[in-house]
Amino acid sequence: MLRSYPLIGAAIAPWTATAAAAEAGPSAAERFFDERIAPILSRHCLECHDTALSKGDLDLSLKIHAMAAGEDGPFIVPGDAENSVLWKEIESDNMPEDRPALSAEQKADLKKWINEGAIWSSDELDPMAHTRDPRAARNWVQRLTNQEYLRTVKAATGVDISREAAATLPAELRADGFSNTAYSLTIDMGHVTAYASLAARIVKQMDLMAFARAHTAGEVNDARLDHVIAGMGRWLARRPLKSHELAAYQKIAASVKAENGTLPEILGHVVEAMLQSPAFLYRIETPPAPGSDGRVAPYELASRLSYAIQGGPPDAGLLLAAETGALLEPDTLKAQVARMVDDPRCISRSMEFVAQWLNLGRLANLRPNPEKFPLWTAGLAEGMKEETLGFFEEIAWKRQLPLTRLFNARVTVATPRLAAHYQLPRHPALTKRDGLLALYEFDEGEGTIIRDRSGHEDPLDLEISDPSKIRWESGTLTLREKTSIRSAKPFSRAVAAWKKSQELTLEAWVESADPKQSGPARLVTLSSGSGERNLTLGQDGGRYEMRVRTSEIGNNGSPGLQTPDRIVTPRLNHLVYTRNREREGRFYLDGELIATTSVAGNFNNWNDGFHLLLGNETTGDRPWRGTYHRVALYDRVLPPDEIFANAGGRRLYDLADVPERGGLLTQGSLLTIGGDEASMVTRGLFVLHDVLHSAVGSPPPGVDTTPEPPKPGLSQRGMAIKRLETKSCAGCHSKFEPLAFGLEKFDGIGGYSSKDRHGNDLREDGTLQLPGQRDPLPFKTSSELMDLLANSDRVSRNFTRKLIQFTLGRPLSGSDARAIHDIHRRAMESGGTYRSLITAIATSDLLLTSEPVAAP
Amino acid sequence: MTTRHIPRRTLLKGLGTLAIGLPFLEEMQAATPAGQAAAAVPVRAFNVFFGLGIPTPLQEEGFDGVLEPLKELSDKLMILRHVDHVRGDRPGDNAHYDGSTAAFTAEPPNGTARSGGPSIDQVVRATHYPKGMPPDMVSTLVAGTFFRRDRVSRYTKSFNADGTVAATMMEQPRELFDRVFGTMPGLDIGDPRQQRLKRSVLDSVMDQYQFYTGPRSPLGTASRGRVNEHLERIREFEKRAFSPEARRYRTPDQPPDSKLPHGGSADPGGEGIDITLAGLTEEWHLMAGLYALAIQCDRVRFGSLNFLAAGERIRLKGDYLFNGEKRFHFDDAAQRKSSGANGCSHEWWHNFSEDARNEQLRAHAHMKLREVAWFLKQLDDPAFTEPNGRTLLENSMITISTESGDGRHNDPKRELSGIFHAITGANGRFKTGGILDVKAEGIDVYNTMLGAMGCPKKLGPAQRESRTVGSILV
Repeated sequence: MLRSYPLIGAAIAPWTATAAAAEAGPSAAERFFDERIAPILSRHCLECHDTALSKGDLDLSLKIHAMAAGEDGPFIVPGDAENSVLWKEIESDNMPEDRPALSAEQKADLKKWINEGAIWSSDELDPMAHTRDPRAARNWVQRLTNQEYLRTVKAATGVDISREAAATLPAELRADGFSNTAYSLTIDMGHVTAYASLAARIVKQMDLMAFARAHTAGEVNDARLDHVIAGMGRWLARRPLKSHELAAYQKIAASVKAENGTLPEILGHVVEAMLQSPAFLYRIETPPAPGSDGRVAPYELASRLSYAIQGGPPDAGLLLAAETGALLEPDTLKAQVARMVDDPRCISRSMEFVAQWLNLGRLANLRPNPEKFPLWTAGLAEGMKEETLGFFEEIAWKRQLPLTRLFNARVTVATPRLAAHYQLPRHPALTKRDGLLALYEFDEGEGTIIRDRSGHEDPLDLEISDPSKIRWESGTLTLREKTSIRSAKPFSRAVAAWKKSQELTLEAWVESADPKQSGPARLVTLSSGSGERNLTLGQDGGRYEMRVRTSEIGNNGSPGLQTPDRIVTPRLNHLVYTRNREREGRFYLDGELIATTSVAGNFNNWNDGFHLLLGNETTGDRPWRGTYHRVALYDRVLPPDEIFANAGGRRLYDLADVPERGGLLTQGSLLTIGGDEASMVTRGLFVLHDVLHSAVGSPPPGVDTTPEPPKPGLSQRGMAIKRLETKSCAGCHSKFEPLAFGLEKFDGIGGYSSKDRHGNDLREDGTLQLPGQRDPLPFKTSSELMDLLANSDRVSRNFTRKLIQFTLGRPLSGSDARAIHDIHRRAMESGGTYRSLITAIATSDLLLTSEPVAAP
Repeated sequence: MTTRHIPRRTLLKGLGTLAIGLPFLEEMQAATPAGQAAAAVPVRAFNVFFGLGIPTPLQEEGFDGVLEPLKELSDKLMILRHVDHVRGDRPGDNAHYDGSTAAFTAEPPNGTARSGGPSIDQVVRATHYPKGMPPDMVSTLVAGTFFRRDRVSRYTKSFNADGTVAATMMEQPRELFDRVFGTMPGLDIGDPRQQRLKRSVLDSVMDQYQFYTGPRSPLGTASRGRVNEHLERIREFEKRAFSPEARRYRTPDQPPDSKLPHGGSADPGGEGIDITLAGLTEEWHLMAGLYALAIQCDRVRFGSLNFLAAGERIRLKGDYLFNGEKRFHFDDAAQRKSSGANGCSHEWWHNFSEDARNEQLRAHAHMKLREVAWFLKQLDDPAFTEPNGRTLLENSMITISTESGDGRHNDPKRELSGIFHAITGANGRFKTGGILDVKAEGIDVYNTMLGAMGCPKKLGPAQRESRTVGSILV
C-alpha cells in the first residue's frame, strides 16, 4: 500500500508551480477552448489569419488581435455570435477560403464558444499543440528508454552492460521529435529477449552478496531472506516492494532452495527476475483518484525527479527523502532538485536532450554526394555532432548563459577536421617531443636557413637555394615559385634512428597553393632523384601521397599510400603519415585517419647519404608551391590521440573574428538539414518548427511542388523569391523560407562561401518574421539574424516547450498551456538558463501532479 | 489449417539457403459466426504495402498497363479503383505521411509515430483473438524491404487500436527469421536444473506483469494495454524458450546476412541511396519468402509487409525484365541527370503528367506490382491448399494498397483520391476476379471488409454513419 502524505498542497504552493492557478485549474470554458475551439482555429484559420499574413486584418494567433475590430466590425463579439464577423464568414462558408467548409459540428462549437463569452485559455494559439489530437498527450506508462535502462542498470548494480545491450536491444523510434516519447516505447519480442539475456549477464557480473549487504539492514543470511529480498527489491524497484512482488520473489527463493541452491544462487535468480520486472523496466505510477489533488506519491515523485533531471534512478538520498515523506516538503524538494541539478548526470541528461531535439544522430548516416563534397568524412560528421554538444555544454553549463545565447554566442568547440572545414584559425601544436629527429617551425622570418628545432646536438638545418622565390611570414614559409630547400648535410643521423626503431612518423602543417599540381609535387622528400628515395610526401592533384622504401618495396617506394581524391584544398592541413613495426602505413588528415595500407619489409635498405628536400626533387622537376607551417620527423609512431592533439584537439574557439559563425544555426550539424542543395525550404521549415515552434499547412491545389536545384543564374534564394512572388506559394512559404535567407552562404555541409558552385552570388540579408509579431525584423548578416533569434521570446519559449516535452516523455497539448507559461515565467525570472529551466520544470505541476484517472 | 499430406519439411527447404524445421502448429477455431462459417480455416489478415502509389489515370489502363503483373492472379484478387482517403489529410503534414498512414487505417496520423486508429488486420485480430494469439504464434508480424524511415508510418502498416505500432519492424531477413523461427539467445540451457530455475524466474516475472493487467492493477487503460503487450510477449518467449517441441524443431540455419543498408544508414538524411534492381529484389524475395513461409507454417496470421516505403528515395539501376522480356533499363540518377534526392525515382511521381509518357514512373510501378505479385504467388502455392480446397491466398484477407493516387504533392485531395487497392477473397467473403470501380471512401471499404470478417468494431469516428460498399461482397 502506498502511504499517503497529507501535508502537500498548500504547503508546497507558495514555492512551486502554478500555485493558486493550479489549485483553481482550467475552467470548463477554458477547457472547451483548448479541446474544441483552438484545434479548429489552428487547423482551419491560422494558415491565412496568423500574425504573418493577417488577411483581412484578422490575426487569430493572439487573443489581443483576435478580439480587435476590422473594417466590417469586431471579429469576435463575446456573447454575440450573430454580430461577430468571424462567425458570419464561417456560417456562410465564405471562410475558410479555397478550403473545405467547416462541418456543422465545428460551426456549432464556434457559435457556442462566441455566445458563451469567447473565453480563451491563454493569450495565444499554439498550433503545434492545438492541432494535435489530445490523445497524443495522454499519460502512458513509461518504459525505460535504452539509455535510461543502461543508466539504471549501472546505477543500481554497478554493471556496465552497454556493449551487450547495443547488440540486443531494439532501437527506439523517433516520435514527435524525441526518442523517449512514451506512446512510442512499445514492447516486442526483441525487448523481452534482450531484457532476459541482459539480466542473466548482469547477474553474472555482480558480487551478489555485497549487493545484498549494501541494501539490507542487518545481516544477510538464509534466515533473513525476506528482509534481503525486500531490501534489494526496494533498491531495484525504486520503492518498497508490494506484497504480490515479495511473494513472487519468495517463490523463486523457494525453488532455488528446493534445488539445494546456495544463498548467492538464490540472490542471483531473484535479482535476475527483478531486472525483468515491470517495477524495474517501467516507471509505473498509480494515477491519483478522481477528486484528489493529483499530487504524485513520494516514491513516484523521486523517480520522476531523477529521470527528469538525470535520466536515471533515484539515488539513496532521494529514496530516503521519499521514504520519510520529506520530499513532499518544499524546502527538501528544493534542496533535492538543486542537488540533482548540480550533479554531472544532469549535464549528461541535458546533452541527451540536445542530441534528440536536434536529431544529431542523423549526422552519422549522412552521405552527401562525394562529387560535390569530397571532404565529407565520418570524422567530419562526428565533429559536427561534437561541436553542437560541446557548444551546448559551454553555454549552458560552463558559462551558465541563458539558453537563447545558443543562437548567437560567438564561440564554438571544434575538432581539427571541423576547424579546417570552417577555416578557423589554427596553429600547429606539439604535445610531445619524444622521438623527434628533426623539427622545422619556419619561424626564422628571414634569411636562407631553416633551423632544425628538434633540440638535437647535431641539427639538420635546411638551406633555401633561391630566396627570391620564397616569402617569410609570421611562422610560415611560402614557396611562391619553383625552387628547392635542401638539408645542409645528409640525413644519416635520422636514417640510423629509423633503421633502429623501424617506426616512422612524418608530420606536416601545409597549405597547397594549387590543388592541381602533381608529379607528385614534392612537399617533403628524402631522395636522390625521381626514382630513388627513402621517403617522399607529395601532392598528386587532389591527393596527397606517401612513398616509403622498404626491403620489400622497390627503391622508388611505389606503390605508395594515397589519400582519397580531391581533399587537397588551398587551406591549412595537418598531414601525418605513420608506419609501424607491424607494417601498417596510415594517413591522417587534420587528426582523422583517412587511409591505411600494409607496407611490407623494413627500413634496413634505406640510404643514409640522401639529403632532405622541401618543395622539389633533387632533379628540380617536381616543384611544389604552397606554405609550410611545420614539418616534423619522428622515429616513433605517434598514436591517434597524440595526432589528434597535435592537430589542435577538440577545443574552444573564439569566433569574434569569424563573423559568419556563432550559434547553433551556423553549425554544420544543423546546416546539413538542407541536404546537398542546402534547401531553403527544409532549413526554413526546421527553424519554423523546431526553433520558433510554429507550423504551416500543406501546399494548396494546383501547385507544382517539384524541387528545382540551383543552376547558373538561379540561386537557392532566387528560387525562394520566385516562390514568394507566386500567390499560391507565398502564403506559407513567406512564413518559413525567409528564415533561411541568412544561411544562404552556407552550403549543404556547412561550408561558407560567397558564391555557390554555379557562380551565383549568395546573400545573407533578409527579414525575420517571428510568429506572433506583426512587424518583420530586418537583418543584414547572418550574425544579425542570430542576434534577433537570441533576443526573441518566441525562441526562448520554444526551448521551454522542447525541454518540457523531453522531460515528460510526451507531446504537449493545449491543456498544458497554463503550466508551460508558468514554467517559462519562473525560468526566465531565474535567468533563462538550463539550470533554471530544468528546476522550474522539476518543481512544476507537470512533475508534481498527475491527471486523476478513474479506475478502469 | 493447412493440409499435411505433403511432407512439409521437404516443402520448406529450398528457399534460398534456408532449411527450416517444422514449427509446431496450433489449430485455432475462429470465435465469430463468420469465422465458424469458415470451418477450420483460420482467420488471417495481412496488409501489403508498396510505396509512392499508382496515379489514377494509370490504373484506368487496367491489366494492359502497370497493373499487368497482377493479371496472372486476377481471378484471386479484386482490384479496387477510386478508393479515397481524403479524410486522411492532416493539414501541415506531408502527403506521404497522410496517405501512407491512411492505408489500412483510413485515419490521418496522430503524431509522427502513430496512426489515428487501428489497421484493419489488427481489428480482425482483436475480434477473433480477443485474449491474444496463442503463445506459440507470432502475434503480429511486421516486415518489409524499405529504406526511407524518418517517420514510422512510412513503412509500418499494422497499428494497434490506440494507433501505436503493432509490432517491431523486421527489416532484415535474418531478423524476421529469428522472430519467427529463431531460438532464444542465451537460453539454450542443457542442464535441467538450470532450466527449472530459469523457468521459476520467468514465472515470477509473468506473475508481476499479470498483476498490472489484472483487476487490482492501478494502471489506466492505455498503460494497462502496454503492460499487457509485454505480458503476451513474455508468454511467447516462455513457450519458445521452454517448450520441448519448440526446441526440437528449431534449426540453426539462418538466411544470409543482408547486403543492403539498414537502420539509419539506409536513409542518409533523406537524400536517397544507390541500389541495383538485382540487389533490391534478391533481398525482397528472401524477406517476402520468409514471410510467406511463416504463414505457411501457421506461425503468423496477422501483420503487414511492405515493399519500399512511402516516399521512398532510391536511385535504382538495372535492367527490368518481366516474363523474361526486357521492359526497361532503370538508371534514375542518369535519367534524372541529378544526384541526391533529386536523382531518386521518387521524383518521377512528382513529375507525373497525364499528357506525358511517364515512362520511368510506369516502369517503377510495374516493377513494384511484379514484386507484390511474387509474394502473393507464394501464398497461392497449391501445396498449401487448406481443407476447404482453397489456397492460403484465397483464404486470407490480404489487402494491398499504397500511399497515393497522384504523387505530385500539389493537391492533397487529388493525392489522396483514387488510391490503388486490391483485396483477396478472404475465404469467399469478397468478390474476386476483376477490376471494380468502387467510388467509395477507404473507410467505408475497410468497414465493409471488417463487417464481412465478423468485426463489430468500425474504423473512424463512432458517430459516423457507415456506408456499406456492397459491390465488394460476395
